[in-house]
Amino acid sequence: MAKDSISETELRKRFVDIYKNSGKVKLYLEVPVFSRSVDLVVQDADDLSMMAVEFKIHDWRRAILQAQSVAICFDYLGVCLPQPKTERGYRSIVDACKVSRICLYFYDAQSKTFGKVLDSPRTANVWDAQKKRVIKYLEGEAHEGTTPDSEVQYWNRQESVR
Amino acid sequence: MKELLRILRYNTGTDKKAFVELKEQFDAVVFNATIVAYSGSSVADLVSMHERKYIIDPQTHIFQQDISAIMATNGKAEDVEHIKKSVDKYLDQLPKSLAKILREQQRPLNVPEIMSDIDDLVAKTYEFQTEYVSKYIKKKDYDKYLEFTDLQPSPRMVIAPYFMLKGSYSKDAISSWLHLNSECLRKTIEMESKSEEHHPIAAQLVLDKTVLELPNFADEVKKTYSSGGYEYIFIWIDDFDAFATSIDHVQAFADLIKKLNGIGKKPIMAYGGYESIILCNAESPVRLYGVAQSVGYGEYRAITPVGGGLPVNKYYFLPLHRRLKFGDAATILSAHGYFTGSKSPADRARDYYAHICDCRQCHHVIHNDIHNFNRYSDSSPYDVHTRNGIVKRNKPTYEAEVSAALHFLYCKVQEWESVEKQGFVDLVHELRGNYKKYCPEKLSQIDKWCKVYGYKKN
Repeated sequence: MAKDSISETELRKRFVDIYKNSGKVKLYLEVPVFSRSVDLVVQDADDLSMMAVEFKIHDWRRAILQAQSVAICFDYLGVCLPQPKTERGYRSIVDACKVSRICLYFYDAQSKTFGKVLDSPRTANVWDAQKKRVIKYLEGEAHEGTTPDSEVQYWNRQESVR
Repeated sequence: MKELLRILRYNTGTDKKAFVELKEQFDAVVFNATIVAYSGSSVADLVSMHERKYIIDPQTHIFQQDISAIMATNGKAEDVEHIKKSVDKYLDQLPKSLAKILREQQRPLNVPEIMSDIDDLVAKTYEFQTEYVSKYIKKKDYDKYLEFTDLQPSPRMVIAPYFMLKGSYSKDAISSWLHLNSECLRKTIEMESKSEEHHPIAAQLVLDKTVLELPNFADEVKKTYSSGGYEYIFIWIDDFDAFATSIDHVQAFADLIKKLNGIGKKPIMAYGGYESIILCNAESPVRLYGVAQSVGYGEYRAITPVGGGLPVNKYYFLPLHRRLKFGDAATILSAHGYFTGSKSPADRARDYYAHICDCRQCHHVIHNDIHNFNRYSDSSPYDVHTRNGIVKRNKPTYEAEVSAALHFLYCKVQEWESVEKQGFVDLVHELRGNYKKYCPEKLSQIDKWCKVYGYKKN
């Protein structure tokens, strides 16, 4: 994968800055699920379906594994990565995400834009009991601000972004 | 004495509930000497429930570890490092000359230094294992009852002082540490023969995985430990998990155990999981005669302290004989339709008892609704400071931790029962079948393990 000078936190911040105004969704940072903390949870404000999104700069395989590790709690899974510089790298990631049924966003460092390359089908075998736990957490504690980034903290306290 | 030893390791106060509930199911309990030195009174209470069942690991390897392995601060960056309190208290019970080097020069000791005080070291570690806990029991109200019923606890066995064989040592250095171990063992047996009470003596062999592969290592161990006067040898291989390590290590381990069996010794894994318990089967081509496992944390243990890590909900997945992160276990069950589909939660609970685990704790947690399985993941969020700022993580509740620990121990009881009742081939066949069904990505490692122990696939 092509290296990018930005950090994972910065990549997520840019994603959030763009997508917070893109539709009827609520965005939550650092959501504890099982033994992990999911980078970003995108919740549809209408049907309350949720997508877990993992951000990685270097290790895209790990991003897929991390997303899969919480699959039974989410309706959709996604990863967000810097756009690879080679066609081969691009293909490998797209193919792996297709097989894993994971939504894929690429970040283009030059244009500083994100593109959705793959949509994901709905996750199979969601365990409602655990999904409800995540929703309960989002309804309760998520609005305290879970990052030291003041802009995101402010934004995160807004209950929904339209 | 019962030939196979099912042993528990006691680590922290949170292990107590599970420990007390399952005490009758295990043959002995091992305490680290540092815990005994630091919490003598509580240990006395626990061992009073275990007549003639306790073993103290003398941990004499602390003399040869890098000083950082035994140092701690009070948790603040500006604090000065000091020797951990439990280690310091234990050092008070050991030869002053050796403890002085650690305390004042803050460096590991070498073989000649330890050898120069070997008689005192042997005497002090023997005394610590046989008398230290009793001193605390004598102060207890219940002592008179123990005395009246002649049920005063005493050690199940006494472990001779031992030192670790490190991967960084030269072949000559390993030989000299082995010689020191051999002398400690010989002198402990001598001391035992002169004592009025008779405690079985055990050796302990502690090593890095890489040492297993040194040329002629198994032969050298055979030579070192071939003397009479004792039967059991505790084996502790740094962070050794035979279902996950390289096949060369598995083979070298099998060779080592075979050599020890050849000289009539009974190896016990000081930290081990099912891959060790299965080798206690009477038909196993190389035999272990006992396994110790912790209540609260992993079956495998690094020798020197490493970062404790963040507490997470874990669940012992009995068909795989592995402790998994709760999410991974739930993902496997979900993939097999336990939480979805047309069957009712009660039917799914029955399936779970039939195919996954039928232990008392699972019945207590799940009842007749499979969705109650998520009680094993009860947790509360807490803040973790990372380089990217504060993130939230889930911390298991005390109840979930105890519940998972009890389930783990009930699983161990089941494993021991099946290892004592079933044939080796059947056990391995069942193991392979379960990996094929629930964790096919790890099946090739299991197959390699099987090959070392002579199991052939149909």
